[in-house]
Amino acid sequence: MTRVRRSRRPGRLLTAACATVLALLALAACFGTALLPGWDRQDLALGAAMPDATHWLGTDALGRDIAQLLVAGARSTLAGAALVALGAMVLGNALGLLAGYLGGRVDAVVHRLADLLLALPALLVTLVVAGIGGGGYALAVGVLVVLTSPGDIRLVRSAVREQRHLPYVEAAETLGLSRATVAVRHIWPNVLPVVVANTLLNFAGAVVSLSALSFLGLGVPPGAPDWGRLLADNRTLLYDNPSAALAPALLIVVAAVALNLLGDRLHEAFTDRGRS
Amino acid sequence: MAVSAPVPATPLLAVEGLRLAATASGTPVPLLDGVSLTVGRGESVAIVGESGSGKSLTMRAAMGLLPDGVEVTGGTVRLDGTDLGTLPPRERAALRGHRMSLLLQDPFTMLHPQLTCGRQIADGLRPGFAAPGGGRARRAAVRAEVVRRLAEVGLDAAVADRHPHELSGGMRQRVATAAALAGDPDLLIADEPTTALDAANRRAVLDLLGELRARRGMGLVLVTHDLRAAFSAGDRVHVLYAGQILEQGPATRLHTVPGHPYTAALLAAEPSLTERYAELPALPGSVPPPGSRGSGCPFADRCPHTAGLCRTTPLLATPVPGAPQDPPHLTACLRAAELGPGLAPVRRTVVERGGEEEGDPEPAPEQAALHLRGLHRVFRSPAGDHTALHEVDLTVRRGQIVALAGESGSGKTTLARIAAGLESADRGTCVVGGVPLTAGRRPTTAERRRLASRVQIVFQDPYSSLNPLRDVGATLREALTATRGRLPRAEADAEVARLLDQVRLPASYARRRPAALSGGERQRVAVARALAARPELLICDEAVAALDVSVQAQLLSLLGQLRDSEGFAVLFITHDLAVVRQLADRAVVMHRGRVVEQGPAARVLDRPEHPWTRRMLDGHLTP
Repeated sequence: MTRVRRSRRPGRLLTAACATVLALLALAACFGTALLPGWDRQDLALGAAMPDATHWLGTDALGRDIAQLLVAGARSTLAGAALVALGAMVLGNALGLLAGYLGGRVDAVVHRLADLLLALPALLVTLVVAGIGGGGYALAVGVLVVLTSPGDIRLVRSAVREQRHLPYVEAAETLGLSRATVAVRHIWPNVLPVVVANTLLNFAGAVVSLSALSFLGLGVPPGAPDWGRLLADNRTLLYDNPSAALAPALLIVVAAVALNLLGDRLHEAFTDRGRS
Repeated sequence: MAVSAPVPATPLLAVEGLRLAATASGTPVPLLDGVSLTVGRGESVAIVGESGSGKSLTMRAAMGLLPDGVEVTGGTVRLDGTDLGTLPPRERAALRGHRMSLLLQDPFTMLHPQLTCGRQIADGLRPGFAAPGGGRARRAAVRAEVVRRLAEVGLDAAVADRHPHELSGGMRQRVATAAALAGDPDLLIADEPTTALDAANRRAVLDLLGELRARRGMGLVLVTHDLRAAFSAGDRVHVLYAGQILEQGPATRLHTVPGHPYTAALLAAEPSLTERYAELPALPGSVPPPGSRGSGCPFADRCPHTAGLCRTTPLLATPVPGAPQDPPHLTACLRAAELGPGLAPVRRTVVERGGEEEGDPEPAPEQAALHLRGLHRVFRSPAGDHTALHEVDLTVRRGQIVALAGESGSGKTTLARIAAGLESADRGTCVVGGVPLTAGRRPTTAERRRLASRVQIVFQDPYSSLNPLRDVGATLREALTATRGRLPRAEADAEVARLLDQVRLPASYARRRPAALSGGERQRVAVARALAARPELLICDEAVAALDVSVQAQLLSLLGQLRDSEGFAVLFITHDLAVVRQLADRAVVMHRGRVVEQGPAARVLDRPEHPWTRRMLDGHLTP
């Protein structure tokens, strides 16, 4: 049967838009503070002001320019989220591959561990850990890595189990290749599409989670430029300068949506790789 | 079933000049080019063709169930004179199940896994199914009807309460048949209904379909790539190739006096149950893909009789010279008249290879390619234990081709997997090319490394037996380095080219990904990968079962030739006894985990001793 795919030209445009948005955000994260050396200049006399020609998005209660704060804040928001996604990917793939390929007792232990972690309410755990450990950005990232990984473990494990008994894997085994080689060189590349897509989804989720933690005061210290923090600090300014709270919220949403869409698109592209 | 029913003036189904095209890429690519056929009431029509011929698409177009991106670009489909193309989708949907019904190939995915079989049949009953009263009385009436329907397909009432996963493949296909017939359709379209079944069930399902057709007086369209199924179950046969009908006529005539070189070539490529041929004449090349078909005969590039005009003259169905008028025997071959009886396949039969006689002394365990004694394997599950292998003894001598035949679930694949080191036996001796395997555990990496040069395996499914992300060259190079150590790049490339040449593939294929290969080509690459390890024993687990007959013939010839030149032994697992006849020196028949009969292939097939062997022989389809 001939399978024919619908044209996805509009999809391509959307993908390009998402990639552009993310590239701009990445630039801001890398060079934002260097390009805008005066991002943290205060003007207490001005206080919270509506947007005008000098302050495009207005100012916060300390008279800091919101637009510049947002650019400077890209780093803590995005870098932390990227770390969470990558950390969960490494942890999840290693354990998922082990459990899915070896099966048996290893699988039972890893799988129960993942179940246990999934059963814990994420925010509560973070609150408790932050309460004991004294909060802080590094701690928040670390806790999110551990809490995100069970999803990756389960996903990779089930994808690997699907591949494990396919003839190409068994053929590699009858060639006398070591288990590690079979798992890493044969199986892993074939589960990569879901891994990549999921990592981007985790990234998007982590942007939101980290912002939430900052919002609750458990992430970055007060005053630091971070979208979640800005949203939290400026929500009282809704009448004086609504954009001070809405702009960071919007950025969080835009970044998360762009990452989600790009993740979907990458998933498709990777899945097509094996076809002609 | 050879007697054909008279075709009434308005046929039940009339497809005329049907054209289909793939429209997704912007420019339409023609898939089907002017296909016409008729099916009368009570008549059974087979559409036979290799994969990619468009046979399934034709019937999906008739059902109005074309996949996305495929569109009707011409022609009509009429049911009882009504042009289905002009009906609104809703009315068309109402016809499905009640006027025309579709029975699909895969009994494992065709039924809803979470509904009982009875419910699935009940769902298909006519909406106005006459049931007196309401509530309980109605339910009882529906239940009685479902039981009656199950009895019609030869199943007992208890099946109604079972879920599909509790049934065997053959039983599921019967349930699916009952569900497809629940709406009492006038026309049943069966798309490869027997392909996923083993020989015994294949025959039974075809017999059942024939019986139902006769009893209900419905039209039956059998879409299949299996020539034997087509010729044994169809009154008339249409041969479809690259989207066009090359020949049509009564089954008996097509089989004995084919009017088209393609039909003749297909028939010649089919192994026989009773005779072993010196060579199965394999068709060169493969079906031209859509978009690359010229204006002339699509078969011209592979045809031994091609003349100049063949490539340019559009196809036109003409009566085969000397054929009776009714039903007509038409061919699209320009040269049918001059070729005449020259089209009938000429095949030389040969005697069995001498090799081994009954009573020859057994080789010592370490001298044999495979030595199994008392091999036992039980699969335990909460649902109950299943003894897959029951004290099996088997010897494969060096250089010998042993066929292992049996129905599905007979334990032949378990045996193969144990011999290949992919599974472990519970107890018993297993020595592969002198390497003993320990019962009770899977081989360690070190053992697998030793085993690799002794045994290799080729699997059934050509689509998953190669890593989809690696090109052919990378796959073969890995097999080389895994079994012979690292080679310099130039040497490895030369070796890859040599391996490809051994399986008759051009060296340029090294750069292709599996997705760019046909099923037969993938199986050749799988054979080449196995040969890279220079094994003493090559296990083929139904390696040709999923292939078209012309491709199957190519692969069977190739295996025979490679055995002669390389000297390895072959354990060939199959449910097709004609393949056993064609290829094997020795035949082993398994049934429910036991070896019930073994001996020289010719003896086992000509003078079977065990009732089960006789049953398998009886189940074999003959045109």
